[in-house]
Amino acid sequence: MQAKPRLGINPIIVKELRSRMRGARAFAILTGMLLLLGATSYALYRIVLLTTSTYSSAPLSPQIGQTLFTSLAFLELMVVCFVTPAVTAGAISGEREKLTYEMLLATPLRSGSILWGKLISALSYVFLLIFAAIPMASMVFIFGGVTPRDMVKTLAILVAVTVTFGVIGIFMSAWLKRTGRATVLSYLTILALLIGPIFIYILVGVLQQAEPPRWILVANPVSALFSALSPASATDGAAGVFWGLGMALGGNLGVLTGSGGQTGIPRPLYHYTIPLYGAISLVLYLLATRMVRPTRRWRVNWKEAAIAGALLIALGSVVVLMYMFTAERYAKVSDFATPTPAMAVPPRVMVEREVVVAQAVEPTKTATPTPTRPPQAISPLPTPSPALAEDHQATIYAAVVRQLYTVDHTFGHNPPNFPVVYLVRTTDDSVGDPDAPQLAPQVLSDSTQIKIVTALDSLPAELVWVDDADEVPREDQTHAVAGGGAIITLGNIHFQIDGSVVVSAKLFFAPLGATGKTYVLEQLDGEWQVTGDTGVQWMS
Amino acid sequence: MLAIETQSLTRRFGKITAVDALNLHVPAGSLFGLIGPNGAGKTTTLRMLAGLLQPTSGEIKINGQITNHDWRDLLRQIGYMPDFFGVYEDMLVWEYLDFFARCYELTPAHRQRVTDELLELVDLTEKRDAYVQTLSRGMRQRLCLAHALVHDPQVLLLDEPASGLDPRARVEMRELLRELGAMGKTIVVSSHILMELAELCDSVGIIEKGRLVASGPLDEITRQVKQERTLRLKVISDPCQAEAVLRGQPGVGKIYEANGHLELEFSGDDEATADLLENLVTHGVRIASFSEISSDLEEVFLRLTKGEIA
Repeated sequence: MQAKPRLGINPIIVKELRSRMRGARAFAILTGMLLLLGATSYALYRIVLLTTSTYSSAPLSPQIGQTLFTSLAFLELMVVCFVTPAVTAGAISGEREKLTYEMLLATPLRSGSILWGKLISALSYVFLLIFAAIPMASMVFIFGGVTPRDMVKTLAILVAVTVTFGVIGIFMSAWLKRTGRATVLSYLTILALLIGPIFIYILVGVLQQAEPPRWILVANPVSALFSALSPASATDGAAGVFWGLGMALGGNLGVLTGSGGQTGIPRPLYHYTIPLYGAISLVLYLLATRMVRPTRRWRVNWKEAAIAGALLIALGSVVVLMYMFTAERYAKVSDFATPTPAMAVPPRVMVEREVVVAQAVEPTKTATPTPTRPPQAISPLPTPSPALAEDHQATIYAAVVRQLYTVDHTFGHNPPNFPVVYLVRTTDDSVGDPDAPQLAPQVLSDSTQIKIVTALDSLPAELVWVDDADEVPREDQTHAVAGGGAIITLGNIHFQIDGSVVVSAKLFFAPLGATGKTYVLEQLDGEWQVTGDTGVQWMS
Repeated sequence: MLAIETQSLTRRFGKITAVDALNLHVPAGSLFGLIGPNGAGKTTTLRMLAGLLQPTSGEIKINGQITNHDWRDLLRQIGYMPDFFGVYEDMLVWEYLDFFARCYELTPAHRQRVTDELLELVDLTEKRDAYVQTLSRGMRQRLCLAHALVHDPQVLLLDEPASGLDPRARVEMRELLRELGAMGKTIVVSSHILMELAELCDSVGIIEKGRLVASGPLDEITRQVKQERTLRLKVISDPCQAEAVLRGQPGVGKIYEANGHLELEFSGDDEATADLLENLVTHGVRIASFSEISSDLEEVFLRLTKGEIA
């Protein structure tokens, strides 16, 4: 009766899935989670409509989409954090406690197979929870603002986090031999990963009074998720409400993604988080395969060592290949990213949304001459603002000044053609969209000032650089700028991951005669051009 | 040929030596009883034989193969049933056997046949589609025995298979073991209940404090242990005269009278026993019957482990 050994499905997977999926429990949990996600999405949708209606203009569809997507992704991440340890921490210790483990070990099943089977069957349940939500998450495509690429990135991060947390749970289970202890320690580890990096980041920022290095946040799954979404994530409306958590944690979402800093690493955080998690998973998994063995635990033969080494090398090469493959896309970022000591300040607390509400008196339906893209939501956080080469700086600022002077002057179809324009050489990020990135003021260099003036040669106005708006001559009675002139204050240039920049700017010509907004510029045919804005403009 | 052979097998847990230089010899095809009081090292020995525990020192040979290498192949020749075990919840009886059949990489057709055959063997056919956790203790015990048989092992290691069973279930288990023994399998059964092993086993090993005190075929051990035998005679002449004659013989110990018989403790071999009978007859003692009271295992066991276990 000697059976010919054959390769089949891992028996543990068959057994686990048979018992786990039996009865109504598994489906009840799945249904419950989908209902929760659905209800949350609907609530967020209502909140977006409610909060943005204050502007007496309907919120833009892409913003709804982005808000919903970000929130769903965050919720899913939280579900993963809570469910994964629960289903994995009992995997090995549960067998020990139920006295079924010895019988399992007495079979020729390899320890690796036991572990693998347990991991796959437990994770497949969590994956079911994640993937079952995809159809619902796909509803955001109706609103727009989210690309399938965003969704793929999000799923990749969620899967990486799930696998890692699953391996952490199973490692604890194999190591501690008691389900209770394993569960507690798994949750503590995950909590440490969730909060620890943010805490250290803030602490370093406070202690050094400087921008903490961004790599501290690499281990944080929430930071990784938001770093993948930040170009897409909405800042308006409900996102702000939803990100309350982030506010509470750091007073600034910049802390969460660390995108305020530009120390060292040019890529989005998740580019480092996924390989890191892969390495953690692999090492813990290999350790756990030793721990589930009944005998000869730490006696590794050369074959096992070779397999372990090969796996680590394979992971390393995949990471290196991916890095090389995408190097071109991020080369641009690293070129611009030269550390600027002037900006080395801790992230500032974001200006509250309500400030804008108070100032806004008119709908923001302003014609933008080149609306090649919808009003682009910018990252809700101070994004890295590398010191651009002066030429780039000058052309960007020139394009902004031109836009304000010729189009966004609030005079409609009768351009005022101010004869004189005073340009403030100290930047100020608070002049535009209050949700735009906020960094400390800088003084534009003399050569930059000259280059800007040269680039604006064609404007029918005299351009004068001033230190401060206060030194501009005013009319006695009205306090309007003397001689029918105007003052333009510019913000810092904030570089976005997708290659665009955002710049805030303000045009003032008289009390109750001012406007400000935050422009999005892109390099088209080598020229920086205004291609959109953040959708918020104030006027008075 | 020996199915199981151990050489100075030792296992220590910290300072406690659970199994101390055990030399076990289990002939192929025998039903071997490992007897000892609780804590003697029976379970530790069986777990080492099943590959679940690393021996501190010593060597195990299964069917002549040393277990230090190719442990996984040897596992296919061994079926192990632990003394305390649990069952998976949310699992049907046939799925339970199917799961272990999968662990031994049986083909689907083979799996199904084995599952049905084993359920038949352990008399659980009508419980095929019941949940495992609903089975009674005796049924679980039988199911666990069945699980150890899915790969048709040559060697069966059963740790207290009858513990916690009611008398009826115990008889059923004993029948089952006898049936398996008839199939030519080598079976090692551990127990601290001696009576059932006395009827079941053809050879035993008596273990105490991790040491093998005696080992071999049952009758041989009995003889080896019982240098002192109890003789019983039915004397139809004057018992007092018979007693007086007996007192004069060498090797005779205590003499008592019990329901018309004389019983005496006597130390000496068969030759000496024959001499004793001859002397009694020549002294004119009339004897209707003369026999040796066969000692049971319980007695052997108590004699061997006297007072050493608190």
